[in-house]
Amino acid sequence: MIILGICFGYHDSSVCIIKDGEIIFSSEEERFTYLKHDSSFPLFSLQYGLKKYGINSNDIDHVIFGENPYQKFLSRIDTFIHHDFTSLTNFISLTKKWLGNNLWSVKKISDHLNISLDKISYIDHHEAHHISALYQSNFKNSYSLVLDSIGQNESISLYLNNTLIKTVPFNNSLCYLYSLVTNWLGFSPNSSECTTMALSSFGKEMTYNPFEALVHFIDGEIVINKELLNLNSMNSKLHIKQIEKILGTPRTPQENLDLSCFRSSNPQSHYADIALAMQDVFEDTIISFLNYHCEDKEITNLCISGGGAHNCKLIRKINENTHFANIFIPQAPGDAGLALGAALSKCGRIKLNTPLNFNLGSHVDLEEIKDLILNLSENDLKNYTSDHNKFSNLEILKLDQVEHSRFIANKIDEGKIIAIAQGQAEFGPRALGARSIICRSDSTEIATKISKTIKKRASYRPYALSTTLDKAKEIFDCEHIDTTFYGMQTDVKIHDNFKNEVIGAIHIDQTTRPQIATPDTFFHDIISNTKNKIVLNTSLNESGYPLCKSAKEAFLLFLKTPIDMIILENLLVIKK
Amino acid sequence: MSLLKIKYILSSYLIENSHSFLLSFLKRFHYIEDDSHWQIMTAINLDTPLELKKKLFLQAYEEREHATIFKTILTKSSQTPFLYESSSRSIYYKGNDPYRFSRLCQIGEGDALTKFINIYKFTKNLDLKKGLHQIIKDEVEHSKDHENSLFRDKLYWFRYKYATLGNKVASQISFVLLTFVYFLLLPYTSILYFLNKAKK
Repeated sequence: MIILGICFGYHDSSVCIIKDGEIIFSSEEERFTYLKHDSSFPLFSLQYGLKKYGINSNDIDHVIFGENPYQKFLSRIDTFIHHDFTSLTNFISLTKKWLGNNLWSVKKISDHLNISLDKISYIDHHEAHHISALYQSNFKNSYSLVLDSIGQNESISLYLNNTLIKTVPFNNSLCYLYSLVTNWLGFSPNSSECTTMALSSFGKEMTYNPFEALVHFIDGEIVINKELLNLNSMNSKLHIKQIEKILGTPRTPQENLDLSCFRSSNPQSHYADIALAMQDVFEDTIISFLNYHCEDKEITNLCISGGGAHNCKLIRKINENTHFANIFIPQAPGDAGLALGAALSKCGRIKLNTPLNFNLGSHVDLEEIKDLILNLSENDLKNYTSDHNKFSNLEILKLDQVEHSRFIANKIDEGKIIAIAQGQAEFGPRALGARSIICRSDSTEIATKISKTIKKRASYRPYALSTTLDKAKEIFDCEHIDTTFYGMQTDVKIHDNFKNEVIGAIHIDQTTRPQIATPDTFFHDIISNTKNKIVLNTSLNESGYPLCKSAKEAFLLFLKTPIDMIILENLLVIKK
Repeated sequence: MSLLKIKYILSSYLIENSHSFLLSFLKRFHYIEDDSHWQIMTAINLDTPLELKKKLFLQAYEEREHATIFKTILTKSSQTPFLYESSSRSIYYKGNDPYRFSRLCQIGEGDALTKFINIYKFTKNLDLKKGLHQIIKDEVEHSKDHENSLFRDKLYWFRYKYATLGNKVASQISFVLLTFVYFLLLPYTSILYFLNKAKK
């Protein structure tokens, strides 16, 4: 039985294929189109998935769309009539978006796949988020929190197993407020919220937190003061103006923030203080919400999904300040996970005790460029060199897995920067060893080099680390390790005596976003052969581009930037 | 020819004097270069002959560099954060002849080069001038290896280039129509709304 989940039209369109109860493929469209957060119909990922697994349209038993387009349309019309009727631009954008596109989503799927409409159904947005978490969680009894900017019309939903127990409407959306603040700080909204979170660690507590007058938690309800920020309306330009009234002149993107994770002291920054104020109110409100509504204290399991689940600081705070002992977050908690949730809604729960599989995306497809790699001459390579990326030749090695991992581990200890493209790509935003750039974690020089010349990212954004379970128990200052530690989904404090071992992958507040590598994998072998059993791990991409899909994108990035060597399946390519 | 020249002078004038025009110009050219990079990377596959693969790979690399140049100037010039907007992708050559694909790329590059040279001549924006200088240098270097393009390839490119024109015109017409509908509906709906409110 083949079930297809699809989502598009909002953020991060994606496709998921489930065959006989097993998730065989799940990927964001952005990996195939190189357009970050691509929301168009996932044509290229769909074609790839179907071709790779030999599936024809006739083989598909059911397709589920991860959104109820009709209900959402009615909800938007209702909001427009009641709150935005005086805005011509809202009318035009609403009618163009819905009558021109989103309302015909089901028909579009039918046309693209050439299958009858009765094989296609749809599911509520938040329900798809919730199912993507609960059905993969291995929890028999659990609360499930969907933390979103906006779903059909809700921003937060809380479920007890499959029963919806509480919702918070969009007009009190905390995540949307977080995005507005991200925009005010000069970062891309709906994309760079993690940068706001990273910036908050440099902040000092303000004597007057401007968000305390804006956000209230009263008798179990999250309430945003409509006189200050009118979220009844969907007019984002109005919201931006209202936020400017509260916070003052916004930061422009080119305004320099002289902050660095790699310095022991940093100057005070008003922007960091605002980011911290927002983060504090966000955390406090969500924790109050959970403590109030999760009445059954016997249930210590919590699933979290929705874009808000990317906030790893919040996840740690939930761990520390609520009764929940086990937190589960799916591979792609944001809108990219809707396709997976939609498909799971039809096929049911994944078998109990199945470990969460992050590697569901595209394959490396090395054969596409193997001849190219083996035949690039010194003359060809001249075109790819630059002042910070000097090399004249490539050495190509084929090694077996044991030799390979030891060899790589030695190179890491020597200070080399290594790219990995192995097996199926990660589904979701985190690079976990299938499409990663790794290096020593005890060097700020190497981390700075990666920031400046490869990732081109600001120095106030920290790196994550990957380690083994034994080492994690030694260095992490926490009582309990749950599944969020396997997917860089929480942050954790590092014991003081190990700080020097992770100085390149630690934030200013002594926390890091950890990944415990799955045992018996090539990536685990590499880490366990390094001197410290820890590596700095960041995603294999450049700023503004999604994670590399296959060998050709990875190899191009390798040639373009000062990465010292790249692993492409069993091939090791070294710059000389 | 002189009409085209006027177009470039006008564009350069608008780049100097209208900030929003400069931003939309940079964004458009970022997307055009980035799309070329994507088209080429997508076309490289198992069956592409080795020498052509080498050529296309280098070309994709340069197109990506050019896209980055435009994006860097855009980010530097903009007062607001970069918004990721989906400009949907569609493959412009779906056939199986990699050499024809390469020739089509060359026509596209030649087309862009003419634009860049003219904007470079007339613009006074220093960042843009510097970025365009680098891009023109690369493209001229490239054009040395170009094969002669066939008439049918030029025709194919022309059709592709103007295929989206219909959509643009339709979009403008729908804008006018919707504005008309809005002002037609506004008074009636407002009256109904207030009557309903008064009844309650």
